[in-house]
Amino acid sequence: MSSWLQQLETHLYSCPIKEFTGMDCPGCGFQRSGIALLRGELLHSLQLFPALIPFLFTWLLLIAHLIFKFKKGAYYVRVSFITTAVLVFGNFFIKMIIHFQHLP
Amino acid sequence: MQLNSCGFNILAAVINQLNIIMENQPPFYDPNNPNNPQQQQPNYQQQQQPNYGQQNYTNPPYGGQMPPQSPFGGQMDLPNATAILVLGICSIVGCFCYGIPGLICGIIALIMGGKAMREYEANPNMYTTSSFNNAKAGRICGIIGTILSILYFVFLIIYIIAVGSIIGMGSSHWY
Repeated sequence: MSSWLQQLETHLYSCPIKEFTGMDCPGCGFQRSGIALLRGELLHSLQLFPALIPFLFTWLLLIAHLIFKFKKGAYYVRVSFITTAVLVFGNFFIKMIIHFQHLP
Repeated sequence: MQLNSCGFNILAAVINQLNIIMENQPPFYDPNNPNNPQQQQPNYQQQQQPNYGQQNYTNPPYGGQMPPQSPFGGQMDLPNATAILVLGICSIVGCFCYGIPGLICGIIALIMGGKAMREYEANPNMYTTSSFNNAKAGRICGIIGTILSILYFVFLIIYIIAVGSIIGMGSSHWY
């Protein structure tokens, strides 16, 4: 299990935007956060990419809604999606503020 | 031959009489509404017509038009409602890689969602409410994903132009 995680950690997909521009993209931290979640480090995962857990929750909710057809499922999926979007772009916004503060 | 024709005549007369009797009889007795002339009239045409998936069909009381029904009887799902929802949610997943995957998914969800909404508004009784809600939610997700992707794309372009101009100012060659 741990060797598999180490394998994952050493073979991450590099972000093309980060390579090109030097700043994070809205999805940066997703893979590291996912690995942290697989390790069971919940707080570290939230620190790296806070939108991962709402994101996974949205997909699980969507799949459950499409299978079981909840009465208000579409509404909950929508709310969950908006939460995820706000977290993704809020996280990105804060990262950008920090990035521009540390520019020479 | 004459006998035969006579026999046929008698038979025809009997059948005619039977028809007249049958037509004058009310087709059914309605104890709740005995004075309703419309219900007492026999309606052979409707009975003879085959009922293809119209078990729930009821005549409107005031002669209004029935809303259009789907050919399969009850209401059916909006076409692509699930696809719209999935694409709408995919629009936020694709925010990486210059926001282009998100933009594509979001725009497809938006277009398909708009089409589905128009279809639903044309005849709302034909489609199920749950599929309409799915399509609506997918469309809203698509709108949010598209707007965020466009904002991110514009931000990236501005950033690249700004950085390029700053670098260019350092070693500029004015022609």
